[in-house]
Amino acid sequence: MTTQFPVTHGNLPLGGDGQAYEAGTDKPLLEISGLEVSFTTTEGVVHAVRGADIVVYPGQSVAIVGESGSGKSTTAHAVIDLLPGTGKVTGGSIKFDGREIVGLPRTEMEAIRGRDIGLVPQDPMSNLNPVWRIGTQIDEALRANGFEGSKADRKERVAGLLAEAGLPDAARRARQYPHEFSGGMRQRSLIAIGLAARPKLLIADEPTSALDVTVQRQILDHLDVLTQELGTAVLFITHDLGLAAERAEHLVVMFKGRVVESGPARQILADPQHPYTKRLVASAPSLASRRIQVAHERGQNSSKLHAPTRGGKGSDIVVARNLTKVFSIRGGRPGASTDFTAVDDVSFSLKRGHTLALVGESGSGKSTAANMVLGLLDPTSGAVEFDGKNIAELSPKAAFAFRRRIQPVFQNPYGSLDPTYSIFRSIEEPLLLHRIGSKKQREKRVRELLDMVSLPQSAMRRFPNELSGGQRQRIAIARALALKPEVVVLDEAVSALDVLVQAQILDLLGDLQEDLDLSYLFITHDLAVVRQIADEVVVMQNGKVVEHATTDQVFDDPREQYTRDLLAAIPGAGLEGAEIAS
Amino acid sequence: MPENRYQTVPGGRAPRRGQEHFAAPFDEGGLGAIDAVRDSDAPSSMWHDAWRDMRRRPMFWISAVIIVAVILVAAFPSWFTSVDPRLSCQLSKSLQGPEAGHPFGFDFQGCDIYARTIYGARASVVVGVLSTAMVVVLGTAIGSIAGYFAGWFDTILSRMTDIFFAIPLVLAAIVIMSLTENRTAFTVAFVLALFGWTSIARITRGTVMSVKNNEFVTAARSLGMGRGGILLKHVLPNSAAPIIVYATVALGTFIVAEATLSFLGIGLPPDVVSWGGDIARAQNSIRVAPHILFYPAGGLALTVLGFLMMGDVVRDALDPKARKR
Amino acid sequence: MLWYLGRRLLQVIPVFLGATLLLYALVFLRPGDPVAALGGERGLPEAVQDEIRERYNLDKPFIVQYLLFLRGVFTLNFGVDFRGREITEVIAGALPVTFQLAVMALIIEGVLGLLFGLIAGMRKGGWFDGTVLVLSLIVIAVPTFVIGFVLQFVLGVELGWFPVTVGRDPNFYSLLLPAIVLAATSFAYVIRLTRTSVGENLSADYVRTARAKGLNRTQVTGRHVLRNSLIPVVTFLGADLGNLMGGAIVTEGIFNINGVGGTLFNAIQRGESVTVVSLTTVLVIVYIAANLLVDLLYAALDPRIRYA
Repeated sequence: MTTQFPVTHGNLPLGGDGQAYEAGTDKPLLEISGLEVSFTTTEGVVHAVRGADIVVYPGQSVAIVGESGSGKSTTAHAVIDLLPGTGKVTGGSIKFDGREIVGLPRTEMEAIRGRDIGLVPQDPMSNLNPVWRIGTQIDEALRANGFEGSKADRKERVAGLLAEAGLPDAARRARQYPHEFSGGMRQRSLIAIGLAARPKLLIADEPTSALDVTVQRQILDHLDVLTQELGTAVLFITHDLGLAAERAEHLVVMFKGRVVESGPARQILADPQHPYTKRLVASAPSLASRRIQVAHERGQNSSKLHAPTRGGKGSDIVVARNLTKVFSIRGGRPGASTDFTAVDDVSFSLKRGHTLALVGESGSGKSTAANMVLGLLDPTSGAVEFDGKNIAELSPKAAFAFRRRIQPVFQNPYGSLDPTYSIFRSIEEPLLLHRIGSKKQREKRVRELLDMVSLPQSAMRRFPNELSGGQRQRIAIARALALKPEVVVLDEAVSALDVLVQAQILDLLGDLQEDLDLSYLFITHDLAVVRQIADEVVVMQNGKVVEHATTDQVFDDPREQYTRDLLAAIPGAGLEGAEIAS
Repeated sequence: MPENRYQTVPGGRAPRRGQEHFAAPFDEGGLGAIDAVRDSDAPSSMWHDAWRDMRRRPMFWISAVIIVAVILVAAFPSWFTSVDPRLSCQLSKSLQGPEAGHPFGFDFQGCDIYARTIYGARASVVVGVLSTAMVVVLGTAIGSIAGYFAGWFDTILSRMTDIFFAIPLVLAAIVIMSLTENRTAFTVAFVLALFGWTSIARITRGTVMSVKNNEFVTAARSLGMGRGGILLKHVLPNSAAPIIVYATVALGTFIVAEATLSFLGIGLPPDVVSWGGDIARAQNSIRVAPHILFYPAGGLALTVLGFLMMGDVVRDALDPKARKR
Repeated sequence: MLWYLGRRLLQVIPVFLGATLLLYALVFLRPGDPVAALGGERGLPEAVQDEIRERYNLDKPFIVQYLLFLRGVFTLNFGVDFRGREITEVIAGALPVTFQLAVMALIIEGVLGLLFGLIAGMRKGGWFDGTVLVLSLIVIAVPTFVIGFVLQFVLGVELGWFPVTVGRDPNFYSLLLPAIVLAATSFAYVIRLTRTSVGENLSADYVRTARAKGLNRTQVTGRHVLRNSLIPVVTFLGADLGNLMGGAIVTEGIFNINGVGGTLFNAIQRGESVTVVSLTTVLVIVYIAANLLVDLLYAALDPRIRYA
């Protein structure tokens, strides 16, 4: 896939002083020791990084793994002296090529950036300036770092760099603006920028976490090939242990600003020492999924590793029949509108007490389908049957009653709770709306629900902004359960959470399902998570169902190429079984 | 940092210097408490947080003092002066400087400037508050309906907003006020509101459109809540911040607009004591007695400044980007 | 781009019709007879009143009046005013000086506002920022006519640096002080807008990327921060041209400039409704045109709009 657009090699000039680096020398390229970084806020000084030690050798790839707030990105930004806001290096040293770069004068640091240390940032959507052409933005990187040559030379070079980053038709692409590019194309442009001046070290800050999994894999593969060819050392920043282990030889695990464990990647996976790393290794969905896989291959009973497929055959509670949704999109020209089929003839059924996963990348129509099941969107054709009745034909009164039986939990823990409502009010709202119980009974029920999602009852006086993402998601689950529904639609409900919190919520969902006999419609882009929770999987692509089978069938014996691509894209898929099956 | 804090784990290949398998000591706490709920301090809603933030800013207190003072003066002018601004004028004192009991001196008509400045506050405050109230009601209603219901409602209401927006506020006010015979604080406020609601409607429309895409709105829909209920209970409360900020600033600009109209002689009638009118009358005597211009202009500027500063403080306090997490 | 332009032009039509209809209705469709109010306390003789009504179509149904007026707008023939002068000529005589004044004010507020706002935004929290912020609030709080008086008195009368009034023969120098006064409030707004915009752009991801590329501070500021901050400021400035022309009425009064404002004010005081409506219509057209121009500039500055 990635070698389709060959990398230009051989005549690439080296950046900086033109010295080539051989991998395997004993002189570290980057040596961070005892690094301390803090931010000054109105609440006081926050120590984001506390005594971090990291060493990177020329040509080597090292990954810093950690959850949000672990200080991994802050460490990377300290290296390139681009700490946001009030961030400041307050201690320790960062040596690049043997030279101390903490406290270097601005102009000298500007000379190092781009030429010696390149950066591939996290979010491709916001990291390109929307008002300049892609080519111009790459050209800037060339000129700023002393590329000598005529305008035509630079133009050629820009096209060369884009082609090298895997963009076809590069010369034409260089004249386009960022908004004309897809996320993957933008990320490739950012890689071209990062590598434009042939830095010795490339910092890749979650370079693909905003992209679809299949695109993610292509781009990472490409980056691997490129940096190996150029002999560039790479410092990966990622939250995904599986991805880190797959892409880097040396791992650094950070937690709350400290390095808790570091060492050869495979060794850390196989034999984690620190309790935090152990939990991380145990919880990472990509690894967990792989572990189930390995166990399977060995013929072990996997029932202890993931939610067991229930033996008892439940009756269908939700049936989607030939669901189709067509949106009409207004074009730029007056009267010109195009029809866009978001969901195309999709059928599936959810059994009582079971979990059905709808899996697909962005634009696959999975969320549109979920909204139709929830009755929030009318299908263009086809029908959703709930407990045998077409929900479109319900009387207003019956439709209102139907709401009690199916409830959603959404992706964004910051958007799913009204910030002006206290937690109590948020959970009480469904009861109040459906006139359930007296004031006292409602309060009792709210307390009960908080217990159910393992939050202290004292949380009900709080407001959403006082809670963490995982806690908010628990509240959202409590609110969804308030009316004692039979079906819960989990629309990417754990996708935005950190690994450990994600594992906790998945556990909670599993327990609740067992206790309350819930049926889940689980919408996700992440096949790795599916393995841990679903009984059946529906794989969607471009609005159509590609494959529909039990979870084991999908993972062990995928029939469609697209499903295989998705499976291959799970980070860690390339790891040896023995390393993670501990 | 002492060496013995680290423990080196034996591994496979010989790692390079600085890359040996290392694990920090296990006593690093906090693992169990990964997701603990704070329950020590008091709960804080958005408004609570904003209030806490504002309390810390000196600018908030300065503007609050100005606003409270101006409102008191406007409501109870007789608490601040016993001199009647209209009846106690003596032509013999025309343009004279300060004297005992008359700290600001006298204007061209020989009226006490201090008393006139005190009594002038009412006109400005009444017009400012009235027109702001009308603008907020009208603009919020139109903006939120256009933004929330979209479709045809939006097309029609947005075009209507464009039409009113195409006529500059002061220009429209001048034309209409000049043709109005019964000029009172209410008519001035009404005319200013009639052409001043468009900005707030546009702001509300934009905010409502972004708020309604929030997942808590979808969650309320799946609870079976009606559209009107969602608009009133979820969307509008979450759109309030920019409206409040704009309203505070608008109050200041309406006061300036009223003064401009009175200055042009088409605002409040001459028998109503107003800062704009007094400034207009002062222009003839500015060369001989600049102080007559200073006091009404100062009162006006201070009042407007109070509201503008308050708008700034409230904006900063309610800024979602500045909020924690 | 062409479609964008076409769509915007199409949207202007209902706005123009609506705004002129609204103005026309507010002036003519109201209790009281504008003609009967002419001629002071005694009023004009009945026959003269009728003649005036006929000449200005006031005897016809309202909507016909409006359509006839619209025809006048499109043929640039607004008729004659109550004193027998061609209104088109009156406007043509007044418009250029006001336009010159407004454009001068626009340049002053644009250039200085951007400069001050940029410096303040780059060093948020510094002494320059603090000072500029407070001063800008004060400038907004003090009404234009007070600023006008004070500057006229201090710079014109006391110091004699500028002509006190403009009078019949406006030139660049004599219009400079009025332009400064006219620009003052908007200048403060431009500073604040630029400052906010610069502050936002400074923390934007693409600015960090630009710095990571190795660009130096001047390059980052000019090519990324300033360039992107221009978008909202230009939008404001374009819309402000119309406001400046409409708002010139106060400044023109203070400095005795025979522009649109003065003419409008005189017409208002003499009750010449037709002149008033014609002049305001011209101002509304300028305002709409300026907003249209802004949209085009916006498209030029922000490629995302061009293809929308």
